[in-house]
Amino acid sequence: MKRFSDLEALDAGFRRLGYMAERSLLTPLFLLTRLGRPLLLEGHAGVGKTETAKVLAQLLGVELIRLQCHEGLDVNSTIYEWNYQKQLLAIKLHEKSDASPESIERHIFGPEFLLERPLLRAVTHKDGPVVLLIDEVDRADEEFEAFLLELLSDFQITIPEVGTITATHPPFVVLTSNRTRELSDALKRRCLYHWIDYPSAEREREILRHKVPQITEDLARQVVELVQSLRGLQLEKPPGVAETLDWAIALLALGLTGLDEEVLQATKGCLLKSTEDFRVLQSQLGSLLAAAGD
Amino acid sequence: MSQFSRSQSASDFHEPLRAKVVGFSHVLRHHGFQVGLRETEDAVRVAAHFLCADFAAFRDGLRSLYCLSQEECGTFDPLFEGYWAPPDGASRITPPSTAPRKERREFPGGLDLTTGFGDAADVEQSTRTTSGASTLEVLRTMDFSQVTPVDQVRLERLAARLWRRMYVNLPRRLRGANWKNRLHFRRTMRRNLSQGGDPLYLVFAGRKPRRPRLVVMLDVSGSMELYSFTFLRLLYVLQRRFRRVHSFVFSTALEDVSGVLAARSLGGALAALSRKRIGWNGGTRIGDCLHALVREHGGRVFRQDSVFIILSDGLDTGEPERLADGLKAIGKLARKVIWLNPLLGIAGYEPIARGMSTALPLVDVFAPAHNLESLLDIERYLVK
Ligand SMILES: Nc1ncnc2c1ncn2[C@@H]1O[C@H](COP(=O)(O)OP(=O)(O)OP(=O)(O)O)[C@@H](O)[C@H]1O
Ligand SMILES: [Mg+2]
Repeated sequence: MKRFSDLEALDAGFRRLGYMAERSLLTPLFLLTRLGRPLLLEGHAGVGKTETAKVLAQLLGVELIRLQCHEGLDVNSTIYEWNYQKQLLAIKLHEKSDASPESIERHIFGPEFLLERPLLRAVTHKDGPVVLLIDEVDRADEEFEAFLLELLSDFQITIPEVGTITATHPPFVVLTSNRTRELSDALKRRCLYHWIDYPSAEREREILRHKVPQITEDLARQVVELVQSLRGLQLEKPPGVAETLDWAIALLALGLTGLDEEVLQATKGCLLKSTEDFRVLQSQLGSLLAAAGD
Repeated sequence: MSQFSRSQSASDFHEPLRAKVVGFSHVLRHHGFQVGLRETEDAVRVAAHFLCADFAAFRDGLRSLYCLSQEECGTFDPLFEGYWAPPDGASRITPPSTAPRKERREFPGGLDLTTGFGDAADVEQSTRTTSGASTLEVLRTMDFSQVTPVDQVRLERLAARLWRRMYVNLPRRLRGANWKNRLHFRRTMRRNLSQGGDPLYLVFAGRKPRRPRLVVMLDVSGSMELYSFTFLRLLYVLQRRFRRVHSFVFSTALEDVSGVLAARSLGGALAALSRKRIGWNGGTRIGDCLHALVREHGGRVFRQDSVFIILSDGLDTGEPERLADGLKAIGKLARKVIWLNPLLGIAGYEPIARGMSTALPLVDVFAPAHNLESLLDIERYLVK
């Protein structure tokens, strides 16, 4: 595993990998690797939460293990499942032997019949720690949260038939949440917390220049101005950085060099996703374009 | 870098710095932050590493240690500044003069049920020190119509915690004794032994039971005045924490309030509710509203495992037949129909009000709902 010595090295590493981090995100990331506490990243959609974990793994040169959360996650899909097919084959192999049912049972509920799911994999990983990304944890059930809490307190997993497995190299854990519901305080208290806000205009231009290098300085400025004013409106789903990038790429693909009403109408689908939001855009069209044009 | 090695105790660092950090923890706790020993210990490490070298990083680090939400981050910054670097002319924030409360111990393993370390936890703590009826007991059993605004806040925190406990317990209880989400070993083996070399059969012990969805309908008509506000706040807690809940309020008309109650703050939710101008406090047409629920929302909110809860005193101004029909229609959609009635807590109350006596044979559970204790019994009904 690679290490970084200080915040500057961390910042430089992230930039090199194409992530322009706000200064305030760097210290929590640094502490994540030094204090061994998980980091909970909350923020609106598309502000770079998932990307943070990916880039961190890349920078450290370690494997990224990702658990995408959704309703109904359970032990079998997140921790382990028994390899039933293999167990049955083993039973058949033992048919001819005179092994007692008890000893067969002991055998087939052993580690080699275990299918490891992401959480168990993150704990049993042999050579060095991994980055464990538990993405969109707010989509999982309360029950699963209680479960995570146990894992995150001491990086142990108990499997009734096998016993307790303790991580040899505790993983670096990043949790993300869009805050569609509140997580329990107990879980949050285990974690370092950081709210990722939308980037400043300056930072967003920097991201844009980096990810879409063909864009002219002038168009980048107009694009960022407009996106940032959109975020100030009461939208159902305000555009994130992902939308800014999509939009800029679309504009370039269409060979456009400036914004006007027609352009915005033709490409608004890159920025907004609902008819209600289109309506808001329509009502504010004039002032938005005026602000972006200045 | 050695400051961050986990084996080294933070107490090796020099004491003045430590005392200063502990003081800051007290300030934050005083402002409602949940700060325990762990946070303070880690904060000492962060201070030793960053305080002199990089003040902004020191602030960012402490913020990530102490804060649990975006809102807390907003509160944190001025407190940090006021304590560590008050601007010229401003007086420095000092720790509250009262003796610092004892650091709370982390609960060993498992789920930390004291999700609020604020008033509710104090309430519980005081149960150990006061003799006789404890505050906690009083709050749990106090009739909602008697709750003062001060109690209201504490009650809410208590409610949030107890609901949470219920939701964590519930799946375990539902699972019962006979459910195992694993291969039924012996049966599988027997089945396959007789099959010779044929396809492999797996026999499972059972299917995983799922947590039921709740559809809650709250009466906000005049006769419920003393109760509906408290219930609304409880619904807010439920709705905000759990996605498998659909909330409706009704009096003469029905209104879906799930979205409104999911708002970030209770104040915001209540304000949005009052903007909706639901026919507050004028007549009660339970039957019509039940029909409206089935007709307009039935397909969307009900699944076959749904539990329907109506919170109402049953003082209906509509036709009893209409009410009965409505309940029957709901009964077809929901797995279980529960009627919670605050009046049932009143000694001597008999459900002979016109609506109520019609409804009784059509509901699976008829129970009181005049205090927290009685609401928490819902857990029992959900299990079966
Ligand atoms: N600071 C940044 N520097 C470079 N790229 C960024 C930055 N922030 C966001 N992006 C880009 O924006 C896109 C969206 O980021 P990401 O998917 O990580 O968002 P998210 O917060 O996880 O969103 P969601 O909540 O929708 O999952 C990615 O393509 C990412 O590269
Ligand atoms: Mg994401």
